[in-house]
Amino acid sequence: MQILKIVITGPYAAGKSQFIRTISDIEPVSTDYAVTLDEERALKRETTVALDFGTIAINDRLSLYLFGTPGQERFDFMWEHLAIGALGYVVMVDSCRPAHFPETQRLIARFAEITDAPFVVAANKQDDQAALPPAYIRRRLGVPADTPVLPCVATDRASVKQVLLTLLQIIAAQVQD
Amino acid sequence: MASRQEQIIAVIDQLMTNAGADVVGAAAVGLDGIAFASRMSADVSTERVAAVAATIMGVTRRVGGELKIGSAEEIIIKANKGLFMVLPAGEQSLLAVNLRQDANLGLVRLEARDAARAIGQIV
Repeated sequence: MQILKIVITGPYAAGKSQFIRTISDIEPVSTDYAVTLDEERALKRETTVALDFGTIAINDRLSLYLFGTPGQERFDFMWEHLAIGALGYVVMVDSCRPAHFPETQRLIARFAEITDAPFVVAANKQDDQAALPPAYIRRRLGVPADTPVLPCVATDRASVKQVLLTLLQIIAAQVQD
Repeated sequence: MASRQEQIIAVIDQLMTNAGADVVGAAAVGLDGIAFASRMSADVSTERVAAVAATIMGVTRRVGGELKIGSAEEIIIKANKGLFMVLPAGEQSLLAVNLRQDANLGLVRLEARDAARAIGQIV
């Protein structure tokens, strides 16, 4: 059985924990604590402080181990640690919250310093009326042309799977080169 | 010549023999959070423990850096129904050890340190 490590990252409240919860074959490991900062509490009650972890068997030869990071920049040391050995990563962004785009840009820049692994952007909450289209999000974030920005609904298994399979194809293409 | 994994399993088995019933389970884990050899008991998930153990090491390294107290040599978590130890094993990996509640910590620490060193050399 081959194991591939994939990191799921993105700014606060982008839907990273949900993404892993939706697809994992095992009960995911979560490290949620109550949110105390008022500005963060406006978005959700609990937040990941160390990691989320889940696994998904792609077939009988390949398993993905998903490591979700905390979102807040004050936890960026965990980004470095969780990125060790990762062959690719997903940057999640809430399509309805353009206010989080600058933070997302900083996160993308930081990850590019941490690892050379390829990534895809998952534009989450595309089932929401207020969701901005992936093409617009790509422009606003300044995502490189060869990096996909994929529509995503983190609560929908088929959608999460599509994001992971797209990332896998990119990883496979790199390995072949 | 035994494979790397077999050699590491032998080290873990030796640790479990030397420490007697005090060691309930042990695993050698890469810093990437993926276990490469494990003798964890059937009721714990090796994958989950490995991911958490690597995270503990990541956080602890950070503590060492922030407080300028150097690099982590040993982490012991004492819970009300058992203990959990994490030690670096060379540069790239760590040893996670699950202990029963009334374990002889002095002995286990010595044995675990030896095992971690041996694993570090094999890796």
